[in-house]
Amino acid sequence: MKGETQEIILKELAEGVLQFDEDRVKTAAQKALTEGLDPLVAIQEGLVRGMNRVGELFQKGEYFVPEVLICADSLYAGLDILKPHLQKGEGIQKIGKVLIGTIEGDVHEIGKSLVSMMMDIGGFSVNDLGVDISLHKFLSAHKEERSDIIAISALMSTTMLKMPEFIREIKKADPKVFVMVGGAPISRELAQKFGADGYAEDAQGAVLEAKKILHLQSHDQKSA
Amino acid sequence: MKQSPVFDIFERPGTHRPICSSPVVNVTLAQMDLCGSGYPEAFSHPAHMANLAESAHTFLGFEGIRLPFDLCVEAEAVGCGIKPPGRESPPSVVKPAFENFDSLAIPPDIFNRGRFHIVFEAAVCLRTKYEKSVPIYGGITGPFSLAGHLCGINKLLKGTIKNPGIVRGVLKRVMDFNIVYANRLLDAGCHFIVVIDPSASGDLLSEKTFQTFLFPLYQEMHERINGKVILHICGNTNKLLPLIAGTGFEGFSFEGPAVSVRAARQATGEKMILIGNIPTKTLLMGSPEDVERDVRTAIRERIDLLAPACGLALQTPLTNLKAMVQAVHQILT
Repeated sequence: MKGETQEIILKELAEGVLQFDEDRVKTAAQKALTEGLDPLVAIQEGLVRGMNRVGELFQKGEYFVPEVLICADSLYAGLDILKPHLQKGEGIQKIGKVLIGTIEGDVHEIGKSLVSMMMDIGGFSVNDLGVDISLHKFLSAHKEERSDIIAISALMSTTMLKMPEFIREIKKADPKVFVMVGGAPISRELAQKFGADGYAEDAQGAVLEAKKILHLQSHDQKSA
Repeated sequence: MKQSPVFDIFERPGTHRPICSSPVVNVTLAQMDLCGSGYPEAFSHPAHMANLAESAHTFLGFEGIRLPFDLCVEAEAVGCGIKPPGRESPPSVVKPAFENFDSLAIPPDIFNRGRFHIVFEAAVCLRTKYEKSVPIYGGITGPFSLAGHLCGINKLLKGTIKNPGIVRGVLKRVMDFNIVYANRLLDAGCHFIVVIDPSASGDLLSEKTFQTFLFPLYQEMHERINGKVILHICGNTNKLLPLIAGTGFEGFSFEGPAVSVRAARQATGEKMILIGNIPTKTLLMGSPEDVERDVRTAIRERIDLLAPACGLALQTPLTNLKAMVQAVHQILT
């Protein structure tokens, strides 16, 4: 396949995600397959590149939560088409494992789900436990399958108060695991005070922070 | 009984000095111990609800009483999955009531379901006891947040782009119910309606989405609710302030430090009574001096009613809440 065609398809995939145009993404994904484009390249240089741009627009305040959610739907529509055609065992290389959930008593799922999604797209293997997760649930999920990072969110100052205890107990059970926290009432200063290893203000920042914690270069730097 | 100055503040904006009066939930574990009514009973027994609600007035000296203490009354009655309240946690919505937008309907016998009667009874009892000597604030879940409870918030957010017409219809149905409920609360004895709409925050929605989907609803609610309405939206609402000022609602309760009184005053002029915005984090983790500093700033920037910026954390120490009331007295005398 000509490099030119490949560029056009990749651009279509990225643009389709960015413009949250699910049909455009699906068409481009089909075209990628018929033109013999490597599905892994299509995913990473097309879909994920588009989603990274979405994350940037969200940080800048040009996109809001509804846009980000629909962009992600478009990305996943493309993934559904491309994934079955990946070489066996090739998969998408995962750069680390993240266990995530909102803290006990807190049912605010939007922020946590955005982080979970961006982590997944950013190359992490994510185990999203959902909302209102007790210390026991975090610990047993971690025991069952060890993660590199445990990410906990709280939207309320009430529930945030449980974080120091959660972090302490998690570290006691596994001194090697990194803990990240986030949510409206939390600041970097507070996260440090709570004993967390990482903090981010938003979903895009969380991916960068997770990479930083694990001493991974960001994808962009690698490809540069 | 002497009429509370809060009514003057609403009748003649700008003429009265600010006071502490909270339309957001102001309940703490310490108040529960002092008044003898606590969670979870206060959600299901009118006498306990009334008793705990008035504790902000009797023990803290707040010039106001707010009920109920949660945002699940409506969602529960419509049929959402609810995690029941505990000793230190209010109930919460864990499952939407409807799988899709089309099936969303408010049951005609809604007020015979769930806990509405408990809220109404508590309001009647407080009104009989206090008449107009203390304002009674009746909280309702705003249209966007309630629709989010009923259909799932992610689906609703996506719907604003994918199915705007359908979402507008859904919000309209929810709003019609909001208005009927608000008027019932006023009939039961509440003096003010507090429309709590956390999901309509600028943290989630763009100005344009707010303008298209919520602004007309709020205007209609202002027209059709038979009393004065305070809108409370959490988080960063700075970009939404000019729109909020145009809703017609009489009051706006907002969250510091994300939104300063100065910014809110600039955007709303003298159109709205400004309420807030003492950060719940200061009240929870700060010292009485920190509280005084925030109160001072709010007064300097021309707040009307001093209140916690959002629902209080249950562990908030009484000393900080009392410091808030004292600071207002000290600064103004």
